[in-house]
Amino acid sequence: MNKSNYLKDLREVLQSHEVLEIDIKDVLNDYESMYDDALERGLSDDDVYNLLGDPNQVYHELIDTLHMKQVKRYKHKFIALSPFFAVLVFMIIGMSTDIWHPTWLIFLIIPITAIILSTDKQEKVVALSPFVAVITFILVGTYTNYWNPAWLIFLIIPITALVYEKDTVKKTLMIVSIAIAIAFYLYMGYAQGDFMTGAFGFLLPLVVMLYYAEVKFELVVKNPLKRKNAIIFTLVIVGAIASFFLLGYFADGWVYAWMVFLLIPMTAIFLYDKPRKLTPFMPFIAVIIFYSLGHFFGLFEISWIAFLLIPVVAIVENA
Amino acid sequence: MNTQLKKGILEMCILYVINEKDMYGFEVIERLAKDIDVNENTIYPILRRLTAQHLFKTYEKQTSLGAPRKYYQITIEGKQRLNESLNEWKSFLEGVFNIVGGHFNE
Repeated sequence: MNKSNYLKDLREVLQSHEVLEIDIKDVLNDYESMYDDALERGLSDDDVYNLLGDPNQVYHELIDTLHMKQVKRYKHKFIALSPFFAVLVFMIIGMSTDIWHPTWLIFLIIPITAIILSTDKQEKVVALSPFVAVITFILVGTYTNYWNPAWLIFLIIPITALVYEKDTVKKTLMIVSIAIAIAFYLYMGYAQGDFMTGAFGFLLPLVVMLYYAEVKFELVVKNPLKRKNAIIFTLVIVGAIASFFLLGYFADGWVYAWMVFLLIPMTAIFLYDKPRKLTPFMPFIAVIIFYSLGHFFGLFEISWIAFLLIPVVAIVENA
Repeated sequence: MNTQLKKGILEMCILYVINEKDMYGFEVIERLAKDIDVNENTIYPILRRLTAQHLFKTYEKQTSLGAPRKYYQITIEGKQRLNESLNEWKSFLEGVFNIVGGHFNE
């Protein structure tokens, strides 16, 4: 990464967090000056990057000295009104048609509204993907009873996250490997009547993911903090893969074992974004609670309440 | 080392070196990096925070490269904070040495 790319990334990070332009200019001027001084001393771009830090980390370190733009009030009004709107629609449809399930899905409008109005474009699409998956899963499962393979829709969560991956080769390999794994799973399940063996096809995207984790590990191995994060991240990936296959093979838990993979993006957020709040983790926690209560206790009709945790936690933490 | 503890110590060191002479951002990093591991962007955010707290004031000075450099200069409040921090630090170290052995060099 060279100076202009570094400053461009830093600007994008600060802009994405609604930092006032005057502060952005001030910080960028200072970083440009420090970058120039470092180059003048003969440091390489990599050395300067290590010394000045990752732009995301820079933002988190600077946060208490930055001024943010005022969030437009109408957004809060819409978010605050969404529970009342959802209850109203739920009651009207429920009472007039007596179809309470899956009408309850309307309650997902509450976290969806909060995500649409509170997150940036890229985060928005990724954060909305669990809801698209849940809605599709419930509708397909309810009306066709094909809960398996309907659960495959949850794979849109990592695929959506990959859409914004800058490394084209990595993106292509990951998406293609997931597509091959899905095709193999369906082929084995329907043509051979053996979904269990088909699940082993998911080893392919996991191997690709591990390969890139390893490459990342190599790149950051010189930096102690990044090395520690890379080791933890790799261990979580390996642990998730091992848990998935152990649960699937020994407990026949293929239909729910996929939830362990949600630990991977949660770990990435924890290690690399260093959030000081629980809010960024809530969509994942809500999906786990929702699916676990629904699958293990047959409580899909009420387990949607878990999604209300997302706005509730956000309100409590931002109050 | 605990991050907060390290930041507190770095804050004192930054106040100390700028108390000795006015410095620009990278000069502070370079000075501290000689003796302490200051990777991972810890220095500039501390400089910025201490400036916001009026412990430093800044001024620009022309350089031979063309672009002016921002220099940090300690204020009266900064000197007071430095003295307080040094006293706390010395007293803390004395306490630690009383427990684990060793002695404090003034």
